[in-house]
Amino acid sequence: MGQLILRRTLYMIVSLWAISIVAFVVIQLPPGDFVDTMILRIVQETGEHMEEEEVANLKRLYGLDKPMVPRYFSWIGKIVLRGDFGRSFAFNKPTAELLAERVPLTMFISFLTLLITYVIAVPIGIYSATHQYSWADHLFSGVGFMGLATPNFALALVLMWLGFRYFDISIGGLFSTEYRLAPWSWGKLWDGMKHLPVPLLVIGTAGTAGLIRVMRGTLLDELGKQYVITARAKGVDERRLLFRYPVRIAINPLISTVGWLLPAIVSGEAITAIVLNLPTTGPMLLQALLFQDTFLAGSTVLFLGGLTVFGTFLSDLALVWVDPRIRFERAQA
Amino acid sequence: MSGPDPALPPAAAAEAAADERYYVASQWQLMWRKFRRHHMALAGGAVLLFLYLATGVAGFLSPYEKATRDADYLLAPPQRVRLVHDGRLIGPFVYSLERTRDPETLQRIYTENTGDPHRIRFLVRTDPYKLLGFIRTDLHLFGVHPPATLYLFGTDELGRDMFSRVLYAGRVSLSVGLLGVTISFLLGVVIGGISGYVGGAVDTVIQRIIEFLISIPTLPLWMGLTAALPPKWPALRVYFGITIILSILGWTGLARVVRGKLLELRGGDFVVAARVSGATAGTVIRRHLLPSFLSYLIVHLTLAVPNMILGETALSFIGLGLKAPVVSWGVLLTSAQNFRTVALSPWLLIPVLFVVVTVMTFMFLGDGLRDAADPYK
Amino acid sequence: MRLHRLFAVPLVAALLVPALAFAGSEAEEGGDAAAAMERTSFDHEWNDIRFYNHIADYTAATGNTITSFSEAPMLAEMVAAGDLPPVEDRLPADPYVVVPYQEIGQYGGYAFMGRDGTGHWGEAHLLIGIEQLNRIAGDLSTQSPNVATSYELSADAKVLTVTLREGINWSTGEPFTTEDIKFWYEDIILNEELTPNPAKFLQPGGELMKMNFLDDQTFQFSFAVANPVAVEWLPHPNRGVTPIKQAKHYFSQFHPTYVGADKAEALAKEAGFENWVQHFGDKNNSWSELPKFNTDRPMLTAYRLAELGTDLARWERNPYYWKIDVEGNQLPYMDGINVELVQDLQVFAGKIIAGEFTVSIGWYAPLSDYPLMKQNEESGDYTVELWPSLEGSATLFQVNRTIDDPVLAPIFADSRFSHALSLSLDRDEINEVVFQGLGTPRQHTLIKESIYFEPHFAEAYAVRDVERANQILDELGLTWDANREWRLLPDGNRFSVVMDTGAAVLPIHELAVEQWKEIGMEVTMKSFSYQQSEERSKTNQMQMYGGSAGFNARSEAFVASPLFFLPQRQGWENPWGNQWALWYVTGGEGGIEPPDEVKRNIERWEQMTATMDVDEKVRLGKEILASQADNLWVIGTVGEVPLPMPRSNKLRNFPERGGHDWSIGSWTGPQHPSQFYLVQE
Repeated sequence: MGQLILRRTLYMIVSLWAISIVAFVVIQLPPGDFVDTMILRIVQETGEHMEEEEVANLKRLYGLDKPMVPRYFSWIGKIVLRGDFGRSFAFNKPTAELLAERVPLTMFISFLTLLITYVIAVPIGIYSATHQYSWADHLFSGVGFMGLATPNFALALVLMWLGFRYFDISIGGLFSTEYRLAPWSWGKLWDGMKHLPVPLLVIGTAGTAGLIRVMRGTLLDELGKQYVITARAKGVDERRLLFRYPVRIAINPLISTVGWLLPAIVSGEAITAIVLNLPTTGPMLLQALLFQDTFLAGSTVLFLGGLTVFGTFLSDLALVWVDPRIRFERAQA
Repeated sequence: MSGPDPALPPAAAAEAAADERYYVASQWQLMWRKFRRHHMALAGGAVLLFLYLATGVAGFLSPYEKATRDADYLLAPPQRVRLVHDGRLIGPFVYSLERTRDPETLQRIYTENTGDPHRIRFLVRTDPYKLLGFIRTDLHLFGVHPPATLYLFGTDELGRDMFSRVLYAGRVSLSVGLLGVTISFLLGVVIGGISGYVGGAVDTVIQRIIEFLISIPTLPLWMGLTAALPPKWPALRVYFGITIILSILGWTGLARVVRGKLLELRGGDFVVAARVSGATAGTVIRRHLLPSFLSYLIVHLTLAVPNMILGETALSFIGLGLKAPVVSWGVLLTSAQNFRTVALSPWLLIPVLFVVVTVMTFMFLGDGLRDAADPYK
Repeated sequence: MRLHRLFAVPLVAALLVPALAFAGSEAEEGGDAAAAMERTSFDHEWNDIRFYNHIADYTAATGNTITSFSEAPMLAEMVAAGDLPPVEDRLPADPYVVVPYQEIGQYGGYAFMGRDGTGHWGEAHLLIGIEQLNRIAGDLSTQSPNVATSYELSADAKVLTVTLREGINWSTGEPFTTEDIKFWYEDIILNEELTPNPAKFLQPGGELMKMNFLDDQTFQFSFAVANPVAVEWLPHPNRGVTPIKQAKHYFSQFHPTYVGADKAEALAKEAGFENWVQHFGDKNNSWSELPKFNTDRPMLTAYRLAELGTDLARWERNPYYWKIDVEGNQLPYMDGINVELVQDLQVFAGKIIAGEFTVSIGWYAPLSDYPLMKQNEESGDYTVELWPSLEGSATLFQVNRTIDDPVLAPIFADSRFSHALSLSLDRDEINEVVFQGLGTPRQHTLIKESIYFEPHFAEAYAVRDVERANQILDELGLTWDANREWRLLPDGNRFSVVMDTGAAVLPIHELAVEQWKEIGMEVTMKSFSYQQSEERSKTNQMQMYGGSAGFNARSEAFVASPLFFLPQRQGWENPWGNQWALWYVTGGEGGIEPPDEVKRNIERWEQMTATMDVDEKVRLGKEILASQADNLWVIGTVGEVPLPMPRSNKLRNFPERGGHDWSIGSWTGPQHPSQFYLVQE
């Protein structure tokens, strides 16, 4: 096990390095840079154009006059040596600070959603599999499919409108304007609670429905297997029979992908967050990409990539722990 | 549990014959039998078939061409098809719309002129179009003669018939993802299979590559690649290009699951038995391993195709997907995703219903297939 | 070389105004008839917010006087606590007096605004305003005093003398004097590290301008040649010269001249920058006045940036603001302004109709949302007014006449081709579909209030005539194909061109393309990001362009930069003479030499910027515009489109109408944003 961890750590470092190159290069594939984007905005806002000299001065100011390779090394060098992820051009703040500002709330919403998703989906999946073709199974399937099938942004938009029209919930964000800046109070808490259901509902529906389908599918496979039939023939208690092996095995595919949820938890649902105006990391990344805010975008991508690599590592370990067969094989190898 | 229980003795000759057919039926026949019993899946399949056919001949089924504009009826609400006018049954008809404008808010207001019915004609010749993309014709299944109008789903902000546009858009939306899904599915199964079955160093290398690919968020990839594709390409081809590139990158999820399953199964007795009796690796995977998790693959596929359709709408939303003048459900929704639509012209959201129905039918279909493919039933 | 000078085009160029100091007690009455004549003249009702340059002027005009000053309660508390000097010491001895638009305001309250994710930064200035040396007056045209109390251009137009208001303080409490302007000139403009290439307009006659500092309040710009345009620098919100943005006492602490090279570099490294230039630039953000990022920066504006998060920015009142109302109350009335980041424009619309924002600028409140906004006025407790934009045409279509394509080039270069495109456009439909019928279908030219305007400039080829358009295309040898569906090029291929649409394909593009289809023109639309557009323009790949003009059509802007009438810039927004512009900016070395007509226009404009004779100038300007009307260098669609300006009913002293334009001083500059107030319960 110790050796496994060591080896995987080495792989992780190599992966991260490769990601860092992609993160820096792919982001700069579109022509132009932050200064060009900024000038466009100035043109749109004011209808004024800049002289070439002024543009050159600005590019120099942002260090964009240098070629990509030295810029890459300067960026990655600072990260490795000083843990300095560079500054965001658009916000004029260190990237780390910006992430620190948004990651906690993002994680809060994601965890809450994930928790609800699992709490709802796993039991329903088990129920649907054990009661195949019952009316409840059909109902869950129908509702689940509907949740999966509705485009998130449309759902968000309609829910927001209904919330505004009929429940007097202000549109977008997690707090109403009057509570945005106010210190924490019962009123603010209640205001926040009023705003939470829409994002949770929107982000949660698709996830829950998907999970129910996967859970139901794999569990049905397991339930048809010889060992289950044998156990049942031997008179093993149904409940014990169900949870002892089939459920654990059915969770296997869920676990092998749980690692990839880590970046999703941190980045959040970008599109839903944009529609709902949630101050999470997803919209910030999208904005950084659109603005060619190189360091913010690059460092965020690197950060998310790092989380995936780490998450995969964790899920591999979890897999070894959950599935005795793999554990056994690894021990042999 | 479905299917005849072999433990029971046959009670009648007919039943015996049925059992006989059951025992000698091929795997596909068995699957079809089981599939037939899954009514929702059958219905789903039928709806899907209908959708593909209908959008295929969109030009014939829609009363207008997708770009036909009517500046007099901007954002007109859907017209109701009626049968009875003035107490008499005169066949399907619509009343003409009268337009006014609120002088204060500038909101356009349409009211039915109940004194002015227009019969819906069948097989009318109006807007020219190309049937199936090459037959030049102006024959439509139904329509009305101008100046009468027939806007079953209302019109958009340019005065174009939503019903016609939804049909035309379906062509693109229903087909655009299939290619991508196919590619990533094949790659996922093959590479995941190799990784899981061969194991060792090959497995390690493949796993590292997968890890690397998964770690890159798709958003910057989309943006980078959209920009990197030749600017001369038309919008539709750019989208196809990116779909393919992404599917080449997107096989990883399936590959990991396939690998995990294989790792789990390859120690199974039946595999060991096959190997001992000299079966090649390919045979073992194809004949013995693949069928044992076919159901999982089907679930994956039935989720993947509609995911592509949903993905198309989502990408259109952030402005990275298809763009006008290409008409897809995503493009139609791009111009509908605002409060003025939700509040004042909700019929522009009709494409959402089509997306929902399509995705759901795919899922019911997949559900039926999954159950049908399950060898233990 | 004469040509060379001709090409060294200042972006803010000559607009000749006879030198004058602000005369009379009310500045808006100042100026002689000729000068007023020559400018854009509006006769709307929005120009009646009065002010007095001095208290004495107020007394002279009304008989009243102001003897004592008062201040906002939050400041009074700070004074009582000893954290702030008394209001008399913070204000100049002779402050600027504003007559509130509706009534004397109430102190207090925070305004709420939104900004979208695409990064507009300027919207808060709708409530903050811009403080420049001079101010554009309520007629949206003439200059009036502001930070400067007077200015004078010498008879030879080589020396511009400006006198500052005495006793103005920075928001930090430090006095503002010519020392700060000297810092700008000597330590920023003359510093070769900070400004290796000074902008061309600072070098009239090819020589960098000089500055003299006579005393604490008086300084001079002096030029090698006559440079009457310098007067136009004085009120401009960001373009041109911005000498009053850098407080010496603050910026000198990062500057090697004051702290030594070693310390400046060390400070930069410590703050995470590579060198002091980047560090200084970061603190300065010098291009525009917007105090985008720096919360420490001393300001002269009514509010200063107090807090900047990723999704919220907060401005707070400047306790040292130097304007008062007629009762001696220090402005501004409001405590501050919060600007919230709203990622999605649709959510923005939702927040507007929910009445969450105190005021929103037109680009967040499109005309297509007007019915929705109007319907919710009552429930959201706000009012939507329409403010005219000063655009000649909201969207322009352009044909690249210098396209590198042997078949297309002769067709594109022929003005008749543009005539056909213009004649086949149904501008009424565009107006109805895109602008709710509120715009004016017209050809692109200046707005009708401009002194350079002639009705036929706006009428040229602007009425739909498909028959005539077809006839023109026939004359050009673009024959129909067998089905009479599409037109064919002389080489037998189908006529098919790509039109760049900027960042998005908009309904107006779709409409135009459909309308052109009727004359057999196949135009496909393609959207590109700004960066791609810039590259396509630089490499001359754009065939056609359709996009927003983003450009006001006031006389002043026309003279400063006749962007769409002359090929001066090889930019994405102006591709009609792409290679001619390259020829122009390279002084004849690159690109393609323009035809005589275009060269003549360039000369006309050159003469315009140099002549002191107003009649001559108007004649030359009209010739340029007549050339546009004859040749349609750019094809206009619908212009003079109003933009909705939704504002809370709690916001008072806010004008019903104004110019929806940045260059007049951040939209509301002429209306004195510091006198806006929020009704307090």
